[in-house]
Amino acid sequence: MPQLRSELLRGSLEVLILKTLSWGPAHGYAVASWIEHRTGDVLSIEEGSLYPALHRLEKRGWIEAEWGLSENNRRAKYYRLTAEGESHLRTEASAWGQFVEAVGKVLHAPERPEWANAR
Amino acid sequence: MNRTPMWRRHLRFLGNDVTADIEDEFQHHIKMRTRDLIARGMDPVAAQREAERRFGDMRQIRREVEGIDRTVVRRRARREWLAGLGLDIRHALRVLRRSPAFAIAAVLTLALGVGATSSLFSVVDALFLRPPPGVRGADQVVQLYVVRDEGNVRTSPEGGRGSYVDVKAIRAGAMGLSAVAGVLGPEEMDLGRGERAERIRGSAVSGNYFPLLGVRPQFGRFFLPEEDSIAGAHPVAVISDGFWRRHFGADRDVLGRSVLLNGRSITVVGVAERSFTGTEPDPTDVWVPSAMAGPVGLMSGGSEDWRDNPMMVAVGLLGRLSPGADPLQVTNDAAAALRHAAEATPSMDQTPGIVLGSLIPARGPHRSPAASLSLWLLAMAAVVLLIASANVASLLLARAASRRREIAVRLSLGAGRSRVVRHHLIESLLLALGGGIAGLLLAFLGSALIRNLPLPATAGETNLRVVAFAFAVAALSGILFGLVPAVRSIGVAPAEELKDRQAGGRPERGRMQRALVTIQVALSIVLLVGAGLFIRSVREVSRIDPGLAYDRLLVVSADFQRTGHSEAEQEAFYAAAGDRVRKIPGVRGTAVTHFTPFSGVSYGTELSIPGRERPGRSTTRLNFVGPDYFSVAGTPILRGRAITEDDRAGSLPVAIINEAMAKEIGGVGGSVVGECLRLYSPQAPEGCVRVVGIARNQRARILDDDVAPAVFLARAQAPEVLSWGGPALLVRTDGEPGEWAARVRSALQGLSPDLPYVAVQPVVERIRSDVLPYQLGATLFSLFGLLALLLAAIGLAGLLSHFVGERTAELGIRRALGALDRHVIRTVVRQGLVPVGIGLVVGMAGAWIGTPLLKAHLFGVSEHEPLVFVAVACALVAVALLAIYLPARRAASVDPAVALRAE
Repeated sequence: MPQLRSELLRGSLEVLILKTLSWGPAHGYAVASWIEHRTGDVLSIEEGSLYPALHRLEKRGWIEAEWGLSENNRRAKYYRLTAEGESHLRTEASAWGQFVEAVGKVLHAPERPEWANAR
Repeated sequence: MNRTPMWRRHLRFLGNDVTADIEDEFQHHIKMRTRDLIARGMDPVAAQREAERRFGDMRQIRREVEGIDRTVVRRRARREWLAGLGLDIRHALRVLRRSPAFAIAAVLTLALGVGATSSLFSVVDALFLRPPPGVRGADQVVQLYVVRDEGNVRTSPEGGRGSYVDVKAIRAGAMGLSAVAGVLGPEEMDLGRGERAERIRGSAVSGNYFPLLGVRPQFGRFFLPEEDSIAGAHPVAVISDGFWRRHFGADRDVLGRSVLLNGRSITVVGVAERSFTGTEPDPTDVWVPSAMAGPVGLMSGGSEDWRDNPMMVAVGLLGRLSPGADPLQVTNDAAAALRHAAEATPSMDQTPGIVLGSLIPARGPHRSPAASLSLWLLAMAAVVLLIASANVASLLLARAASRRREIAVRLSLGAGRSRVVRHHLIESLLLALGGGIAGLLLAFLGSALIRNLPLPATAGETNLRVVAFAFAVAALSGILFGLVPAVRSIGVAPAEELKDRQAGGRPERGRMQRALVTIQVALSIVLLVGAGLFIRSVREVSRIDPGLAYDRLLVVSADFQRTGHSEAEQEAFYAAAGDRVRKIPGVRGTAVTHFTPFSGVSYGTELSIPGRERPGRSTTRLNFVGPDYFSVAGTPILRGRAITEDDRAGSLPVAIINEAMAKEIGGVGGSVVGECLRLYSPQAPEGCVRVVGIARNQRARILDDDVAPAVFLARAQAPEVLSWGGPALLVRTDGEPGEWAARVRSALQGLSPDLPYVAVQPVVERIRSDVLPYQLGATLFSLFGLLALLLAAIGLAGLLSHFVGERTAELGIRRALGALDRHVIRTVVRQGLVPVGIGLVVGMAGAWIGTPLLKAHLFGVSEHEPLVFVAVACALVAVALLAIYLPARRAASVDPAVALRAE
């Protein structure tokens, strides 16, 4: 499957980050590599969108950050979901679910529509 | 993730260095990516390069992220700053509440300064800053003042006025003016007749006056161009909102109604918008077109149209500048236009010129004395405010000195010095806020006081600008006096302060406060001496004997000429009026006279004494009076008799002369009564007029003791009545003239339905403008002097409180060692009296040197009048002792045990 351009990701990036962080606090690289791994490299996030998105989410108060020591003993910034972020995630996720279901219904329609029969 | 050590976690992540943090974050990412790539088998160097490449344009990403972060940092910093401020404010309030006496003293002191300044600012605002309400684009409207040069001397017609010919000339000639208008007036006019007659103010204006100003009508319209063309053709008028409310009771149906202006019927065509009362200093009630000026009596001149007469110089000139016009060019054009017009009338040999001025009269070259005075007063008030601020600063310093230990503790606990400075400033600003509010309240009360001063009626209005000014001024002084202790407290060395447990202040720290008290005492003395001299002047003026008893005397007059009545009607009125008024209980007497006391108008003629060797003729003042004149006026007859009813037309012509005249013709020891006078005036009887009495001299002006010789003739015996300057009815009453005037007026106005407005004026009002300068001086100097004294007293009390506070321990020890109350009190008193004493000496010297400057403005009292100086000194010492008393009492009540224990 071709790698989807991240333009398609832009709107959904935030909800993906939030979902990732809902498993627990992580730093930016961990978030990106988990999404890549989970989607089998179909979704590859460019750092150019990842970090602005992370900081924007932090500004909005849906995630909060804390400096800590990472696996390789370096100073790293860890993000964690806040209570607001959690509730926002829930709404967004369900909205996405409905969207996906709706798109799927159109894309995998079993029968021709009426207006296409007269041919 | 590994748990980080506590101290690392507490380091603020979005701390001071946003850039460094972002750099760390990105570098970490790259390192992780490199590590993964190496784990997948890449060469380390290549992996690093690949990781960096995959990261992308780091600079741009960093820029984007930085932008986001900085907003967060800003927001958080602001929130914390506000929280810190809130804490500081609450803390400052707590501290102030703990020492209420200080807070009250400080706020009160400031309130005095802010109140005085704001009151006077409201006056200055009304005179200088506020354009007439209703004028649009007021800064494009100019007044054109006419100046005339005679040779090398510049003269100006009064108020820079011109003639209507000038209006027309400038209209034609000055291209930079989109409109030019003339204003005549406002003058007092009679409105209506009989019972409802009123006096109002009327103006005659060019037809384009209102459009030029941009004023809009509330109802109806303004003048049409044709209404200002032919003289007398269109009797229309525009009235002011105030007049509409007063006279028509705000009746919406006012358009088309007529009123009688000086006996001429005029139709109302419009009501001006609210609060517009014209462009002149005095408010206008009614405007008529310039074409109607003659018919309503605003301008005399008979049959010719006064607007063509260049000698009728009474018109104020207004112009509106075209957009982009150069004022200098306009001035030159206008002056050229005037010169061109002057060439057509060679009779006036002056070169006219023009000076442009603002629409606001006070800003122009013909500033009224009241306007200049208000500026001086504002400056004086600013000085008072400065002193008040200095006072508060010294109070704060005194307090700061006793809080050094507290500050030292705070500093050692880690508070930044900037925090301490901020705390002081907040405290000062809180005091300033309190002072501002209290000051505004005082200003509000003060405006009632100012209304009694001879300043425009609109003065003293507390509008938004005044409020803003009050707070701005309060804040400014708050910062000023707040900086002093704040800066001082920076110099506090914590270790040293905490070590030194004795609260004994170094003596030189009180130096500034003592100097301040000295200055204030000196200033109060100077001002109070001035006040004393002016008060004496007022007293002396009231003791003048001007030759008539002016205090319970009224003048009744009505304008029969301008309102189209005949002489017979005039005579009938005064006769009937006298009868009617005499019936009012409490009226002592009435008399008809031509010239009234202090009217500023007089008439003179030549006289000679037949049969005497005196060379040629001399001149004398002349008055025509009826019976009872001298008794009603309160002028004693020194010899002979007064005019009686028997002195009628046909009987022997008689005259009363005054002392000055008697002296002139008395010669040496000769009797003057019975002498024959020959008067060369058409209003005097022909031939010999016999002197039958000598009267006391009457002063023409209350302050002028140079009395001219005068002759009083019987009105009934005058062959011809003077057509100007009178007559009038004098009324002597029992009580105070104020209420009597209204009573007499209402009794007379209804005498006939055809009467013009009957004016009743207490004679004492006529001397008001002469007495005013002294009263003004007395009021102002007293006010400011008392203010300065109050401030000095507060400053003194503060100084001594601080002194006692600092020396609590020392005083306690002395009491323990057996010192008596009075010893302790004496110490305090001595401390206080030193600056007071120095201030007293300096002040007295200053007053002694300074009062000769006032000499021209004093009356009947020497500028070095010792009584005044002594009285002021005594008052000052009394007040000083009072201010010293409280702190001294506190010192005496210091319990030795408590004082010592506190160490």
